Amino acid sequence: MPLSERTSMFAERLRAVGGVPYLVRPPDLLDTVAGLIDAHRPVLLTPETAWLASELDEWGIEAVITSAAPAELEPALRRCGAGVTGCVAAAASTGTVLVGPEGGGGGLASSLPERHVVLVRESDIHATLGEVLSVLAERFGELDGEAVLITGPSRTADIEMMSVVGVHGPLSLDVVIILAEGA
Amino acid sequence: MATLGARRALAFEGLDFQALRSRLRAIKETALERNDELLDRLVEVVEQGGGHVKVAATAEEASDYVARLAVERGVRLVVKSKSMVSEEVHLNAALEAVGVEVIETDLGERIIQLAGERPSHLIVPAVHKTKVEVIDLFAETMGLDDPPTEAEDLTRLVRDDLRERFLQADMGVTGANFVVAETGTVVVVENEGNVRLTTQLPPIHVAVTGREKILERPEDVAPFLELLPRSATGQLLTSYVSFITGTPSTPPLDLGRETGATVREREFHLVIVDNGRGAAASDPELRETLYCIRCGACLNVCAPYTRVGGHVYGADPYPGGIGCAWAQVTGDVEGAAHINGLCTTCSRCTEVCPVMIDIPWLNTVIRARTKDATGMRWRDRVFARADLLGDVLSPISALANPLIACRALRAPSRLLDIDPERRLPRYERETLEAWFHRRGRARVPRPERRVALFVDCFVNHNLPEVGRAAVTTLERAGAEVVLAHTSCCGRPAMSQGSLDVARGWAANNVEELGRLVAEGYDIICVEPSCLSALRDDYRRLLETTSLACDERIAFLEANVYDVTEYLVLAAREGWSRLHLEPLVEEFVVHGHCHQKALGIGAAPAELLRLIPGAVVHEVEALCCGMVGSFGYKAEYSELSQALGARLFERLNDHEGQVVACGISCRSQIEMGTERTVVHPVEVLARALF
Repeated sequence: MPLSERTSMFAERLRAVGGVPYLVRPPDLLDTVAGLIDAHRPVLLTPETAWLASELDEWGIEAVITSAAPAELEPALRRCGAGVTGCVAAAASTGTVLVGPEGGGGGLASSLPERHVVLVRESDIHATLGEVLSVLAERFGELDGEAVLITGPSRTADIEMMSVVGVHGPLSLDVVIILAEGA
Repeated sequence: MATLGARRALAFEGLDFQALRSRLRAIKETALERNDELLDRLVEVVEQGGGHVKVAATAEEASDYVARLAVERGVRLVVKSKSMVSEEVHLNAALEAVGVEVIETDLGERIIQLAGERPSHLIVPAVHKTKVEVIDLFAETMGLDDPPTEAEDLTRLVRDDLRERFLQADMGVTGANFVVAETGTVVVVENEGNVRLTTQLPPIHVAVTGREKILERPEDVAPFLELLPRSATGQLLTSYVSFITGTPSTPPLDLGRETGATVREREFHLVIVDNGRGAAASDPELRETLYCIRCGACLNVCAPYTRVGGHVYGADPYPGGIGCAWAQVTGDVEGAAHINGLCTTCSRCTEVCPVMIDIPWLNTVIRARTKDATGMRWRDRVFARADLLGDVLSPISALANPLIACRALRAPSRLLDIDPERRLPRYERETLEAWFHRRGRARVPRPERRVALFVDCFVNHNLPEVGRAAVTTLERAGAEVVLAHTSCCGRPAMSQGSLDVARGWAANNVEELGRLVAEGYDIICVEPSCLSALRDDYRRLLETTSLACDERIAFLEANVYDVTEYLVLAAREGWSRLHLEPLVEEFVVHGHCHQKALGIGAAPAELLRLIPGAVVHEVEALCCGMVGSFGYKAEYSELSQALGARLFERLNDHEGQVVACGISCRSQIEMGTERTVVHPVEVLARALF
């Protein structure tokens, strides 16, 4: 499957499960991320997305990294409005992203805040869930702690089988797809 | 919103379900065969990674371990995600007994907890609660004067209510959908995000699961992720699938929890529960229960479960027909016996089970064991011997029928726990066999096929006219017909749990029908339940006898047909000589559960469509609820009628002659709709030139 077709399928399937895809070129990445989290401060970053901190600082957005000392991290866990993580691999067939521990506490950024923003490199999008599971199996050792397949925001149908989006996990899932240079 | 059925159909589109589920089954079979070895490996790997493993022989041992751990660590608050095994071992009660507060965090489980109830479904534990009940419950337990009324706001209320509990909990308890021996990884599938918070926020994570959940490698999990969410909720994938190996590498958080000062390291405890599973693994009849992945697909299609729910049709904590098997495995023999009679063997569950568990067969086996343990009721002994009833009553039918028909005289049936409102079938003086003998074998010039009609007890004694129509139609189609001199198919005996009786008959039938097949005869059944016994059940029934793997069973399975299926095939293959006169009439066709399960559900309607001018309405294939003797039994009679109610409505949507293949369907529909019912071959016989 050519890359662009795979990307558009990923975007379509992601929308079908209640997530929102954003297709951006590298120069526009910061603007997009800042726009998504602006109203959801402070933001939790992981060691893998920590590089965003100084950039977001310029926007006046407070960021806390999940590997920070408890004294700094713990108050932020009650206040955080958004979390930004990277992604190991994504599956077009189901609109799924595989998120690892990202060097420590990455799971907090993807489970606790109301808004979860995932940064996905276009080249990490695979055609099928099976391929992503193969990546997971290969890299099992280094994904110590928690590796999680995320397919849309949290949801339930426990009251009269009515589908409700947003339970204990994020109420919204935004996936920022970073398009390959020259694409 | 799309219904679960519609979502399910969409989710399975383009997927080779049969191939995938064969694969899942094979993985489970291999993993269970090697369960002891994989368990050893798992313990070693988890301990190497710094985790702790408790292999608990009993439910008490499992819950005691967790309760003691909580006491030792000074735990005051536990948050818990949904786990059927924790329900099985009554973990909450054990924790509460030592003064620990337990909060269920799955929305459905939380509703159940607040209401002080037990789950009624594997996936949707509070499915029996209406939204209004939930609103009242929240208002009362949370002290709200003006509770929200929309599902979304109610859900948000629980999010806000539980958030601080997650942050302050000392221990998080989860279940596990799969455990990977090679890596020590616990895999949990969920939608709400509560599993993730439960495993990441508290310093101690305890995963409680059954030993049958162990797979060897991470790769083995992949195909299950294709089928588990699709089967459970009609999703391609759930919102979250967590692969948890050991503990997060970050230090434990101290968010105002009670154990903030004492627990300074993160801990992971894996509690592997046996509770009867090891014994079941070496029990060839019960073993397949252990392949169950708790998706609940069987419940969503189960005729009695969808009527009465898991609190009536369930043994704590597992609901439905598979719940009966789980109760038997985990030693709740009384619970299993109590609900065993509710399985109507409609077999819809076997069509959807992603690991191909034959739940009706498990229920049959358990029925036999219950009967062996407690003895059999007289009524069930009578129902088991449909053959004897016929042999006794047909010759005295002139005397017996008025007695059977007389309402006043039906009162004694009460003594046998038979519903007196039910009309028992009438007996014919001239049986099908007697008629055939009197008439003699018809000479069919240059026959296209040679067939042996399987003479079932009911057609022979109660509805010989259906048998006569079948013989005549087959002969006119170009087949030379003989009657097979066989025993009862064994279905009535199996239904009552008399497996030894059924085995004896099955052995006779394999002998006699095997001989006929070897001589070139095709075997034809008129009653789909008999066909299903011959084609589907004999292999398993005879597994434990000297006939196990006898090739005649396979020959029989390949050469036994439903009469409607056979006549349709004849027309399709081009050898049928039937010339049918137009019948400008409407027919409303009810599909038999066993025909559906055997993949020939469309045959009766297709056969009727061969008649020029016939207008055929096929109604949705719903279980009529009669199921042999089920509807006659006083304790199930009302449920039986309720099960049929939707079918009666669908049939009554159309004018015309009602057509059904099963004798018990026929009596149920006649009672429920007050319309007459005929077999398709009776219609065909009328249309013969």
